[in-house]
Formats: sequence, C-alpha cells, structure tokens
Amino acid sequence: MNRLIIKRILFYFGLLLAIAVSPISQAAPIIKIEIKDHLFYPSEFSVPANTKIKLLIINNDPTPEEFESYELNREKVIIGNSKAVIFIGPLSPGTYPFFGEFYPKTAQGKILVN
Amino acid sequence: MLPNAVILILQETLEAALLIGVLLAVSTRVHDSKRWLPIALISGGCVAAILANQMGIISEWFDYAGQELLNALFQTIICLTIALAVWLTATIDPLNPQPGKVAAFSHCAIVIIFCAVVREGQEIILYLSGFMYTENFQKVLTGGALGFSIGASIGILLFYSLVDHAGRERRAACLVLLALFAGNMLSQSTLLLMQIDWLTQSPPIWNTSTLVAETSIFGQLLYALVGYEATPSPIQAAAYILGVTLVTGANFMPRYYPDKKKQQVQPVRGNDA
Repeated sequence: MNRLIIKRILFYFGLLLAIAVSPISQAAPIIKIEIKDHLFYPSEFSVPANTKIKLLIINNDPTPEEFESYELNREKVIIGNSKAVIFIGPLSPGTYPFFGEFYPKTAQGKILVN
Repeated sequence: MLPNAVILILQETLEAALLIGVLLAVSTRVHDSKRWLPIALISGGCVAAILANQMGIISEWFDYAGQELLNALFQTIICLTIALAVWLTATIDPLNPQPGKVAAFSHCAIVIIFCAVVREGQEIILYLSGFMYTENFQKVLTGGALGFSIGASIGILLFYSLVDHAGRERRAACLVLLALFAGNMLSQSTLLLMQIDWLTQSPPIWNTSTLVAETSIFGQLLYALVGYEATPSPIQAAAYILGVTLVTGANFMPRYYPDKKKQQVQPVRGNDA
C-alpha cells in the first residue's frame, strides 16, 4: 500500500514537472551588459513591458561577480572573464534595480520597463 | 568591504546553519551518533571547492544553464531527502530505536547537509577568491569570519531552543521547520529554472515588498527560515506547497499505514506474554 502511494506521488510529481518544464525557449530580445572595474555598462536601460528578455552579461573583470536583483528574483554568479545568460520577464511597467552582490557599492544598475 | 563581507557570508551560512540546527535536534530524539555532521561538512566543503574551481566550465553547460541546473538539482535532492528523513523519524521509536532506521536517518542527514554546504560553499569560495590577491583580503576574511560566526550562532541558538522543549513540542517544531525548508528549496529550484527559461515566468501572485522588504534584516531572516519571497510566481507557490505537503505527508503516512511487519509481530509477542 505504502509503495503504491509513493509511486502515485512520484508519478504526479513527474507529470507536474513535465507539464511545467518547457525546454524550447522562444526567441527573446537580447540585451548585452558588460562588467568592467566592478561597474555595469550600461547601468540603465529600457525594455518593453510584457516581453521576455535575454540578458547576456559579460564579465570583463578578472574577479567573479554576482548579478542580483530582489525585484527581478534573479541571482547568478559570473566568473571572471566569462559570460552568463539570464532570462527576465515578462515584466509589468516599473523600475527594477539590480546590483553586483560581490561589489554592491559600485556595481549598480536598473532596468526601466515601459 | 567589511560590512558587505559580513552580510554576504551571513546570508550564505544562515540557511545551512538553521538546517543543521533542526537536524541535530531531530537526531537527539532518535539517539543518533551525530557523526554525520563532520562527514557532511568536510565532504561538502571539498566538493564546493572543486565546483567553485570548475564553475566557469559548469556555467557553460546546456547553453549557459549549467549553474542553475546544478543548484536546482541540489535543492530538489534536499527537499526529497528531508521528506525521507521525516518519514524515517516518524517510524523510529525513540525508546527503542531500530539501528537500521537510525543509520538510514544519518545517511539522509549527510545528503541534506552535504548539498546545502556545496550550494552555499561554492559561492563563499568564489566571493573570497575575488579578493585573494588584493589589499582588502584580510578585511574581507575578517568580515567573512564574523558573518560565519553570527550564522553559526543562530543555528546553535535554534538547536538549543528546540532541544529545550519537551518531546512532542520539539517534534512539532522540527516538522514545521523541515516542511518549510523543503518548500523553500523546491520553490527556489523553480526560480532557477525560470532564470534559464526552462520554466515559464508568470506575473507574481502578490507583492508584499512594502510590508516586509526582502532587503531588510527581517526579510533576510524570513527568507532563510521560511523562504520568504515578496513577489512569488504561481509556479513558485505551487512548488512551495508541494514541498510542504511532501514532508507533512511523509510524517503522517506511518500513522495511517503502519509497518506491516510490526503488526504481524505484535500478536505473537502478546501470546508469549
């Protein structure tokens, strides 16, 4: 009986994951952000509302940085001299600040959604 | 540099410290040797160092989705293993603990803490490595040690406040905390899958950022303790509920479906008496 219940739970869990996961991503507009001397370039940019955006972050510094935003619910470590991809949105209009968690005093920026 | 190092290392340490505190309290109830703690900490630390060293390569896996997939895997393992550990503790008789089940609980605790340490440890190592050859390294290291000590102290405080309570209250508190941890882990894993576009992002179901900001100390503590998010998406909320349900279900399942072997043995014992 116990095994049957466990099997059922696992089956529904798998089913839920299979439904929710969509591995084929639609082509999203790409925004390139560069990190240099613990600063974001551009540190401020606009994106359209209700659109999925692909952020291509290039870390030109030799040290790692962590892209973080509480408003966007995003967090990712980017190793020195490497690049990373983060998808954001669709977002409602507003201002979404982001920062580099390893160097928060200098690495700051915001995304304007309109 | 110093305050940032304190906050960052504290944030990273807090989650694992709280989890260790609860698992230690549970293990006291089942009379476990607690040898799992040094094993999980040392092995987790070593693997975290290896992964941090290879993070550049890992990040490029699956079209720059490797980091998120690896972390989501660790979080899902933590959630499922918490459910298994809770099911085991629900079947263990504290007055007469079965060695096999106690050993199985220890293995679960190793897996949970190992995954938690690997997840948070790699970020700490990467952060510290960035300052290694700079003049600020000593300051960052001091701040990091301070943040680590505060995080560890909160974990110890949680452990003692849990073991201070009587058996039933302690069991209930541990169950609630573990269920919330599991929900938090599964919820965070969906967030990572949205970040790499493996899950579709949808608008948040509520916004409580004006009530409790995620950046505030209270918000951070709530995040570590119950996985507080000011703007959760429906998938995140569903994953959270699923994690909580799995753990609470695992706790109550032995009550409704007791061990068949035990049931068969009981009448024989009765005849002997």
